[in-house]
Amino acid sequence: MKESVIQTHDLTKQYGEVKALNALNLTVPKHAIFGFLGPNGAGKTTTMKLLLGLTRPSSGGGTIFGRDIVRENMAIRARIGYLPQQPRFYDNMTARETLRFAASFFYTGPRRLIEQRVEEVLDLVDLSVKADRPVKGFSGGERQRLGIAQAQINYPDLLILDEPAAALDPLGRRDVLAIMERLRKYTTIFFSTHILDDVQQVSDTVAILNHGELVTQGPISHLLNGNGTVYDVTFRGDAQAAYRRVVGQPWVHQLDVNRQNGCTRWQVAIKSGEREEVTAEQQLLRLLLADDNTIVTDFGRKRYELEEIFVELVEGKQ
Amino acid sequence: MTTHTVTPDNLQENAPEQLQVLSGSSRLRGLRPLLSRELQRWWGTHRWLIHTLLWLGVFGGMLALVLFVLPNQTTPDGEPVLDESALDSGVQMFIGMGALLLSVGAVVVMQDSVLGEKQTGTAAWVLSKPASRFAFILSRLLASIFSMLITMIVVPGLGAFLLFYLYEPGVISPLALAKAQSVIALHTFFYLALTLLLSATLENRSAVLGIPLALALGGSFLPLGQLVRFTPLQLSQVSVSYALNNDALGSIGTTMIVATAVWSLLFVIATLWRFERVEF
Repeated sequence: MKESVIQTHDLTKQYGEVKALNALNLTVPKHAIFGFLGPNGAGKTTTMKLLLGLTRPSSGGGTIFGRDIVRENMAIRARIGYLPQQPRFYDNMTARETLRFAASFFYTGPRRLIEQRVEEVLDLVDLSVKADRPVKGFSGGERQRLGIAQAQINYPDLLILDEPAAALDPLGRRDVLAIMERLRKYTTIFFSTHILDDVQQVSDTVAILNHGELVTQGPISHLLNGNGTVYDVTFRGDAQAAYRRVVGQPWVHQLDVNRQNGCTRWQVAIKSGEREEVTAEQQLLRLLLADDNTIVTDFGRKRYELEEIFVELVEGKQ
Repeated sequence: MTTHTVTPDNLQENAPEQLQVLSGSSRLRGLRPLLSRELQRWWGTHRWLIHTLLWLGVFGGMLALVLFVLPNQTTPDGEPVLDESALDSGVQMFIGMGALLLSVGAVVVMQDSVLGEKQTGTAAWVLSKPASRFAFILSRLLASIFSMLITMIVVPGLGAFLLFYLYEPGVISPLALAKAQSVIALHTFFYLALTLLLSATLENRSAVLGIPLALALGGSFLPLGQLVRFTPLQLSQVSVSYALNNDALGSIGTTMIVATAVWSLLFVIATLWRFERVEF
């Protein structure tokens, strides 16, 4: 089993009568790019603040690197990099001074190596040209990039990024995702976002949170397979005989038919069970090809978009 | 000139072993960078110069007026403008008025030190680093005490001593003035600590400013009777008596000093306790 970096146990945060987070049990594997999804107000930022010790749990708890998030928080923070949702730094400091300041919480010297490290992370986020300008003149995107740089200054074993690409234009988003992808082999990345495309692009594991409750978590490949196997088939011609043949198979759970532009599109849902799935895989295409009245133009296992899964799961819980 | 390209692929491989890594989880973790940054805000900018010139100008100007100008002035009825001697009036003005102005200055300087950072999010950012909340508060307190002591008390005090000396050499002893200024420093510290507590506790800037300012400006109107000796509200009178080398208030003065020190200490302890529990 893969080693986990973050584990929470019934982690709960309550503000008065409102439960911002309810009994969250989360496992983030080492070297994962873990996408933490949920609508606004779902409890994503609250979870991150609890992990960082900025807020205390009402009940339950958790560990990061095997250390308790409440009692051993300082030791945890020494190994973490954090990007807040709306990064705010001291306005009168330059980007370079901000990074030096961030580095001074981790390193005492030598000065030359600290400066070298500052240069490295400035290069990483492409801010070298603006390194000596005060942060107060930075755009939202530049602040975000500076936020990523300061989070990376200490070679963290875990990066916690709260909406890292939300304020960026498409090119900025692409760059941030590329940086995350490249950092994967060195660090675990736990990031929240509402941009589902980003998650689908870089994440290997996801969790979906809604109204403070965990809806699902697991490898993204499992999630994108949906609940059970569904085949998408498109063909031309008279499908009546094929329909009768397929729908009569014991491994078919449901068959939906759509007609579009002279073509027929079937969605064949297979009954759950390993035997049924194997049989369907072996027989479905043969059955269709055996029919002389139809020409199959497209055939494949249905692959869900994360957005479909997300909407289905979140709305299903409401 | 040499150039190099750094990609994330070689970031981790480059050299973390050679950097001297800080470790430990003490309550002072993070104090050095935080204190350094706070001192930088005072001494790395023109702030120290502005404060020094402001307080030197205000106190020096008023004192020079009382010592050298007003004694020669009369009212339209031909009466002297000053009821008492220029020296007594000068000391009353420099210390009595000075205590009030310094307490207002302390409130204005401190009101944003924690509240502003809580509201903008910089406090949450800093505390996501390995820095203790204790160190966060201590850095602000130490930097403010040190910087305000120099720019608002010591330098204007030296200026005042020079003016007293020019008025009449030896009329105020340096020791007496230092003792009086120490009491004023304690008085200022009381308002500084109170504002820090409110800044760490409340989210409303008006309350953080209003409560200590109301106490500083209107406290003397409170019907406290004998209880006033357990407050700093008449501490400036103790300071005046020290400057003039008399002990008019006797043990009451000592009680006021001790009470003010205790209040200030309690405010600092309460701030540290409260800030440990602040949620960001």
